[in-house]
Formats: sequence, structure tokens, C-alpha cells
Amino acid sequence: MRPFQLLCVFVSAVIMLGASLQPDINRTIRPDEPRRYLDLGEQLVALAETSEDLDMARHVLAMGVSINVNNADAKTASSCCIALASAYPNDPQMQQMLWDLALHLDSTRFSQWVQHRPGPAEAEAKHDAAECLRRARHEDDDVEKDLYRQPQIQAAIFHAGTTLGFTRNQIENALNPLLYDSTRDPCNGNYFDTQVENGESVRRVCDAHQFPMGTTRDNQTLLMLLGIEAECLKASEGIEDWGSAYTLGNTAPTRTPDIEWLIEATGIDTSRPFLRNGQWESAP
Amino acid sequence: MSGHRKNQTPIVRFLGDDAGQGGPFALLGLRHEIGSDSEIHRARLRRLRQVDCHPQRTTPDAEEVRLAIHSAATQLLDQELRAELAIRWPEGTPVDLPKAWSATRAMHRVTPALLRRARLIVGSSGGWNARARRRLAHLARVNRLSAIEVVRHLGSNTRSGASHSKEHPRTLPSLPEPPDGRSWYLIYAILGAVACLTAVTLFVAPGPPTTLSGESDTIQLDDYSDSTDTPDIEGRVIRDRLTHYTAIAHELDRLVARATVEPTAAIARFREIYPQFTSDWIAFPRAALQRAGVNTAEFVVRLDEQGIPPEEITPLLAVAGTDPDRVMLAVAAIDFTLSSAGLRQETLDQLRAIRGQISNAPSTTNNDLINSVQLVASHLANTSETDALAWWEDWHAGAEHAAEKGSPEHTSIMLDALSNRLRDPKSANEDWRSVASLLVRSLDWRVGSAERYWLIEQFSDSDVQTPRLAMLTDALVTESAAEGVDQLMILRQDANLPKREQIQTRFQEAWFPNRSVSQSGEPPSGSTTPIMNQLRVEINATPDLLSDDQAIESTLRLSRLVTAACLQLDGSPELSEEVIAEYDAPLQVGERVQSSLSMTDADTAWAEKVVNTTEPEQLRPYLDELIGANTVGISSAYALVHLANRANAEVRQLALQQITRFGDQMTILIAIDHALPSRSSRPSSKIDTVVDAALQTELPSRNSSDWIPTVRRELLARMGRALADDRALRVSRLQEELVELHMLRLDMLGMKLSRASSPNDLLAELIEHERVEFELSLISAHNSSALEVARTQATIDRVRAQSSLHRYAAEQRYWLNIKRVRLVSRFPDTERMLGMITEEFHDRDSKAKSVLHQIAQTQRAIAQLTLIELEREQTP
Repeated sequence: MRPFQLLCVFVSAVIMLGASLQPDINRTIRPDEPRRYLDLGEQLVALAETSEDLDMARHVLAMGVSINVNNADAKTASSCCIALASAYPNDPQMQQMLWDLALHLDSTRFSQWVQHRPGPAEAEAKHDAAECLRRARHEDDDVEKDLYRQPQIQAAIFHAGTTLGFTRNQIENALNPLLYDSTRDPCNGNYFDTQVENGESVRRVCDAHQFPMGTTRDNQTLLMLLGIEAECLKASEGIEDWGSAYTLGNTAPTRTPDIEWLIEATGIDTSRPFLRNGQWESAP
Repeated sequence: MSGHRKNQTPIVRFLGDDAGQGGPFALLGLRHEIGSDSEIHRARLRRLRQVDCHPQRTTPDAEEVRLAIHSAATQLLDQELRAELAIRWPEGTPVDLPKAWSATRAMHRVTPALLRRARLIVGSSGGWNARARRRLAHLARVNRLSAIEVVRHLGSNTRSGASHSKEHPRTLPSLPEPPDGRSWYLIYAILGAVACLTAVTLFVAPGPPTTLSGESDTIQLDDYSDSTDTPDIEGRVIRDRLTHYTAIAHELDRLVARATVEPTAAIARFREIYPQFTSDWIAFPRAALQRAGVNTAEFVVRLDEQGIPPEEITPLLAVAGTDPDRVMLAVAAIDFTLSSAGLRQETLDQLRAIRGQISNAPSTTNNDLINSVQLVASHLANTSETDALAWWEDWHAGAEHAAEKGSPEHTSIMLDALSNRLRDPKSANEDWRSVASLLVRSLDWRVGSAERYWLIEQFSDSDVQTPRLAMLTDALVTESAAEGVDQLMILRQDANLPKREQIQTRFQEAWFPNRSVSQSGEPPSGSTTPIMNQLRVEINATPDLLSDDQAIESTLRLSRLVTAACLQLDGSPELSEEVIAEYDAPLQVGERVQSSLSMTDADTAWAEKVVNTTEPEQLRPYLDELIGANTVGISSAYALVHLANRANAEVRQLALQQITRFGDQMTILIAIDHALPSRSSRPSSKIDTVVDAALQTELPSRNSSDWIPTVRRELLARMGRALADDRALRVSRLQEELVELHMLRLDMLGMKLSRASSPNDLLAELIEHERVEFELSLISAHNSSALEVARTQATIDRVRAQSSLHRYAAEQRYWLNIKRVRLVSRFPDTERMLGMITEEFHDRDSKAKSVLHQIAQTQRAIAQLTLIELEREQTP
């Protein structure tokens, strides 16, 4: 029996330890404990397994931002923002906005903010995305299987496009003919086709193209694709000419994220700041 | 005996055992039932006089006792606190009760031996007389008895065993009635005059102490709060108050050290001192006040460092009551403490919670207590909903002490108060009239002062209530030091809008004669009215939702007008006139040749001829055709790039020359784009040469991994330019115009920059020049910190900028913020107006669909601020 008793004790200890590590979301959190929102939110993010867990974590942290801003505690509010950014692992745009808000709340976070700019991995995916678009414009038949099928490249293309104000539909409508049209380029990416005429090799313009290689069916589509390429390569940052930047579509308005934006984006109800038994309430 | 004296507390030593029973009631000698505050004041003065009459009255212990007396009085004056204290602390023994006659409990010590001695005393004193009473009182005191008990026992024993006294019956007087105070009124009245003279003498030059005995009871003094004939007594009260600011400051100094050595005692002492500080802070000179604030914060920090639970620390800074002057100091002290480094998070959280209970004024985290007090004063002024004179007098005392009279901060705070109360829809009554009088008299109303501008603007603000404005004008005309005003400028309470305008005009004519239009209707000569008028027109004409074309036009015109205004303000009126003369000239966009991206037969034919040439002599005639056409078709471009990449050296050279000539055309750029290798391949020297010929810009080595992305970026930038439509060309022209305008100002300021600089770089130089000039003249910590916030935000905006357009927008916003801080600093009355402009700007900015629209709206806001600056600078 002794080993069995020891085993029971061990199992109980493990269960209790595990239980103690679980965040106690049944406990009430109140606005007069503003830091609790950050502590609990971080725990929830770390232990989230389902989307519901993640939603709860986001709600707690977003509420924490709001409450700490009202409490004039910029540091804790900024920390809640940064923790909230980690709760959006698949949404780099949201992450960037939250980091921007964290910096806006607490300018001492500048060096961390700079470090959190897209890293080499993201930059690599964006360069590949620009290459994918270029090769698609130039009717490279292999571009789809080489590049476009990779999820991170697709994500980078759509992210850049939506940043410029295009919809996913618009981007797909422009790209799909370039990627999947079977009537394209019989001359394997060469503008001139070598033919034999009168016993001599002569180069002729390949006439099997709907529109010249490197262009698209219309200027509007061409501008859109060029704009997305430029956005992926961050080319606009180096463009000094305003006309060029305007043509390539990099004219999105500058938005400084603020609390109103956060409330709208996360859908929290600031009139219900008390958390009790997993429910948000307006009174203790 | 000496040991006993050593162990005596200072209170007992100076005031007697009764005072040392504990609590404020005993200290002041008051019952729990107190009829009025004047009783407390009288008791306080009595005790102070006791201390003043003590031989050790100049010692630090005496100061401590005085401090304790004041603290006790302050506590008892608070009725709610008094009720709580009455539960905890015993009643005091009224000071006017002769000690000898106060009851004690030790009755069992009346021994026969004592009585024999008592009888001997009476006998040896020659009977029942004053001397006998004095000696009996002493005997009773020594034996810790009351004299009444001794006399009572003396009389009863005498009566019980007096067989031998039949012959000489002793006539003992009847026991005196227990003094209830009322019977002493006559004596008080007679001695009152003597006491007044004595008090005056003591105040002017303290004389020898008078001995207080059982007979010469404590003199009941008059109620000084009603006395108007005893200015010296009042002065003595003030002397005590001034003395106490140094005592309070000294105490706070000591408490910082004691916090480390004996925290518990220090906490208890702080609990006594701090309420005094918050009540009497107005007596502190500013330097002492700042130091006291530092000491308060340091005290809290030291306690926190020692691990004292926050629940014991943070309530120390809690302040009861809603007196605005106390709230100002209490909130500012908490803010000052919150900005201290090293406090635990729990302590910070609880401090914030306490702060929230005292006031909802916005939190500040600067290291300037006085500035924090000013901000709280301003908040209270802006949020007050009362016309109660007592509240405003307290507020005024605090605000005047925090912001030096005549300073911009003082003016701003007073105008905030007036602005807020003028807009209260509640009916105005005599309370408001008194408050208006108080605030009006605190302003100078001198020539060129901000309050003059402010007043004139109130007449045209529909939110300002006419009856309140009427009372304000009445106070201004009848009670202020304003010059140039008369009875005709008093607004009637039932005045309508035309009448308000009429009074406004009178004030304007009286105070700003040069701003008024002359009789001929022409603006005064040498004025900036044309610029101002045009600015007003353009500002009003800019809609809140713009198209791209409207954004371009608005930005251009507003930028020209702002530049003209700045040149005027910088002292270059001629240049300013040149700019304004052309301010609405349209943007000139030159013609451009754009190559078609469509395949044409002619283009295909030419391309096929060229691509099949192998010798330069074959190629040259075709290239001559190209030059004549001045444009390159898509197929022709591919042919040229093919030749530059593949053919022999001479043919390549010819092709490269054409590529250089037509390097800005879209067709060439696309053809080059097609010829680029993939990311994984290394570019050949030939393609490197082709790229170089087209782009004509410095590039990394072709062996570098940066070559391909850099070339791609350059190509994309050129493509953007090549594909630019008319509107994009106008955007480019706008950029060039802004460069010219900024260069004009920089040249005038003697700063030489290249015209190749971007407009945002040029604007950044101008802003830096303005900022440095402004910072040199800044004396207010509040404006310095506002400037710092603006600079930090600009740094962030610049890093976040995605393109040159966004960078320019970032510089504009920085300029807008700098202008705003500068205007408020110089003209404090403009703060409300600037707040409205800022709100409107944020609303328009949030609706902007592109950065181009944001640039236009920001320029509009800059124009609004420039207009205000012009108006103020123009007026002498």
C-alpha cells in the first residue's frame, strides 16, 4: 500500500499545483485594483488554449488599459497594451497599433517599440511577397507554386494591400488572372520569340500575350500591384517625390491610436469594469 | 521632585495636569458641548497666553505646546471631527475653574493629622482670610486633595467635636458655591479692561510673568473675533500664525529624519502636523512651500522604503473637508509624492485612490508643487458650480498664493474662473456679484493685458449669460482699477444681443482704438488686415471633408498666407506683400510625355528591327527615329534592354545611351524590371550597367545582398513618377511650392539650405528655430513640460511616418503644437479659444481620408493660430 499511498499523494500534489497555476478568473477584479487587470491578463494570455480564453484575456487587458488611463497610471496602462499585443499573434497590424498606443501612453517605451518593429523574418516574407508580385506581372508560370502558395507570403501581400486601402477581393481579382490564367506566355518569360524565317533565326515579339509583360489589363490594376510591391519593400519611405508616393497609393492617413480606438476595436464595455465569476458587471 | 518635573510632558509643564489628560478637549480646557466656534478661539487664546506667561515661553518645548494648541483648536473647529474626538477623548477642565476647587477623587486621604494642620494654618493666618485660603490650597495640593474637601472636612470636624470651642466659636465661612462661571462675569467685566491693557503690553513687549494662583483666577478675555478695538490682539494672533509656518516647516524637516529612526512616532506626529500644513500653507513663502512639499513626499518615500504597510502610510495624506485651498494643496502634495521614484506599486495605487476621493482634477506628474497647485486651482475654477462667496474667497486665497499676481498663470486661472461662472445658466444673484467683484479686483486690466481681450470676446460668445456678464461689467466699472471705463459700459441684465454688441464696441473703442475701423471704412495704414482677412476667408472656406484636389488647393493657399503672415511678424513686410499678392495663383503643371503601355504595330515593327541588329551601323538609323519620336513604346523598350544586355559592346553602348535618355519612361522601367534576376541569383555586370544607365543614382555593389531590393525600390519609385496622372503631378508641384515658401523664410532668417532639401526637412529647420527662440523666453515649468511633450510626440510621429508625405504631416503637427504652447504662454486668455480650435482640428483630422487631407486640415489649424498671433501682435 505504501507505494500506492505515495502515488496518491504525488498525484494530488500535482493536481493542486496545477490548480494553483490556473488563474483564478472566478475572483472579482475591481477598478480599485487596477494592477490586477495586468497581472490576470498576462496569466490568461500565457495559459490560453481556446479562442474563448484568448477573448477573455483580451477583454481583461483592454479594460486594464482603460482603467489605468483613468487612474493616470501611464506605465501600467502601457504595459497592458503591450501584453494585449501578444494576445493577437496572427494580426501584425493590430499588434503594431497596440504597440503604437503603448508608446503614445508612455514615451519611455521608445526603445522597446523600435525593437518591436517587424523583424528579419517578417521583412523576408515581405521581400518574397514583392518578388511574387513582380514575377506574376512578368508572367512567370512557376510563381504560384514557388511563392504564392506559402501562407506567410500571401499574408504579407494582403496585409500590404489592406494597409493601402484595398480590399482582399480587389487584390485577388487583380492577382488571380496573373497567377492562374492558362492562356499566358508560351514563350516562357521571354518578350521575344526566336523563329526561323527563310533559313535564318529571327526574333519576333511574342504575340500570345493579352497585354505586354510586366503590365496588367489596365493602369489602375498595375498601380495597385506596384503599390503593394512598394509597400512590401517599404519603398515609399525612400520616395521623396510626393507625386510618386501619391501614385503608388501610400497616402493612408496617420492615425494615433487612442483609448477610443481601443474600446471600439476590442468591443469592451467600460461601464462594466467588475469581473466576477467570469462575468463583467457594472457594480461590485 | 526634580524627577517628577523631568518626566512631565511639555503640555503639563506649561498648562498643568488638567491639560495633560489627553485629547484636544483637555488641552484647551473645553467641555464636549461647545456652543460656538468663538469658545474654541477663546480657549485657544487662553492657553496661548498661559504659555506666554511661563518662564520657559521661548523654548522649543513652548513652541511645541503652542503648536499643539493650534492643532487642537483646528480639530475642534471641524464639527464632524469634534464629534468623533468627543467619543475618544475626555472632557477638559474649564480653564476658569480654580484649580483648588476642582474635584478630585482622592478623598480618603483626609486624615486627622491633615485636619490638625489645616486648623493650625487657619489659626496662624489670623482666621479665615485670603492668606489662610492660600495656605490651605497649598496644603491640599501637596496632599493631592481638593481644597474644598479639606475645608469641608475642617468644618464638619469642627462642628462635631467643638465642646471647648463654645467660648470662642470659630466662624468658618460657608463653602463657596461651585463655580459655574456666571458669578464671575462681574469680576471679568471689571478685570477685562485691565486684561486688555496687560495683553497689549505683553504683545508689544512681554513683561514679567504674572503668577497665577487660586485667588487670581485666569482672566476671562473678551471674544477677539468681535473685537475691533484691539488691533494689537489681532496682530498677536497673526504673529502666532506666522510663527507657526516656521514651526510647521521645522516639524516637517524633522519628520523626514524621524521617519527612518522612529517611524511609528513620526507617523503619529505627522498626523498632527499635516492638517496644520494643509490649513496654513498660504502663510508659507513659495520657497518654503516647495520645500515643505519635498519633505512631505520624502517622508512618505522613507516610510515606504522601510516596508511600512501602505494602509498606514497613504491615509496620512488624506484631507477632510472640501475647502478649495486645502484641496489644492492636498491634491498637489499627493501628485508631488506620486512623482517620487521608488514607491511601491501598492502605495502608488492607494495614493491615487485617495487622490480620487479628494478631487477629480487631472493628475500631473511634474516635480513642481506650486505648478501642481496652480493646475488644481485651475481645475477647481473650471468645474465649480457655486457662487458662494466663502468658497471663492478660500479658492482665491489659494490661487493667489500659488500663482503670483500679474503672472500669466495667475491671469489664466482667474480668467478660467470667470469664464466658467459666466456660462452657468443658473440665475445670477448678489453672491455672483460679490464673486465677480473679488475676481475682477484680482486682475490688473492694464493696457494690452490679456483680460481686456478676454472680456471683449465674452460679449460675442452666446454661451455667456447676459445677467452674469452684466454684473461683471458692473463690478469692473465700479470696483476695478481698469482705466478708460465708465458707467455707459455697464451692461443691463436684460440686454439683448444688439445691446451686448453695442457695449462690446464701447469697450473695444476704449481699449483698442487702433483695431477699430476708421470713419472712412478703410483699415488703418500699415496694418496686417489684408492678410488677416484673407486668412479668415480661407479658413472658413476649407470644408471639413475634402477631395484630393481641394486638399491640394487649400494647402497651397493656406501655406502661402501663413508664410506671408510669418514674414510680416518676422519684420519683412515687403516680402510678405509679394507672397500675398500671388497667394491664389494656381499651380502650374508642365506638360509631360507619357509613353503608352499598349503594343502597337509601329512599336512592334521597330522593336523587331532593332532587336535583330548586330552592328552599330544597322542600329543607328533606328535610334535616330526614336529620338525624333521622343517616346519609347513597350516593345521598343524591351528591345533596347535586350540589346544592352546581350549584344556586342558597341551595340550595347548605343542601347545604353538610349536607356539613359529615356530612363524616366515607364516602358524602359518595366523592361528593366523584367530583366532583373530573381532574389536568389546574383546580377550580371551587364544588368548592373543597364540599371545604372537608367537610374543614374548611387547603388550598392551588385555583389551585395542589398542590390536587388534597392534597385527594386528605385524602380518602383520611378514607376510611380512615370505613371503619375495630372493630380499626382500637382501634388509634386505642391511639394515644390512648399519648398520655395519655406526657403523664403529661411533665407530671411539667414539660414542657408539647399533647395534639394525636402519640404519636411525645411519645415523642421523653421520649427527648430522657433522652438529655440521660444524656449529661451520660457519661465513657466508648465509650458516647458508641454513643449517637451510636443517634442516627444514629434519624434514618435517621425519614426512612424511611412512616406515623405507622412513626414511632412508629422512636422506640421509639431509646428501646430509649438504654436499653441507659445500662444498660451504669451496670451493666457486664449487658452479656451485654442482648446476649441484644437477640438475642431481633431474632429476634422479624424475624418480625413488620406494624409493629403490631413496636411490640409493641419495647415488650416496652423492658419487659425497664426491669425490669432497677428491680431494680438497688431494691437498695441
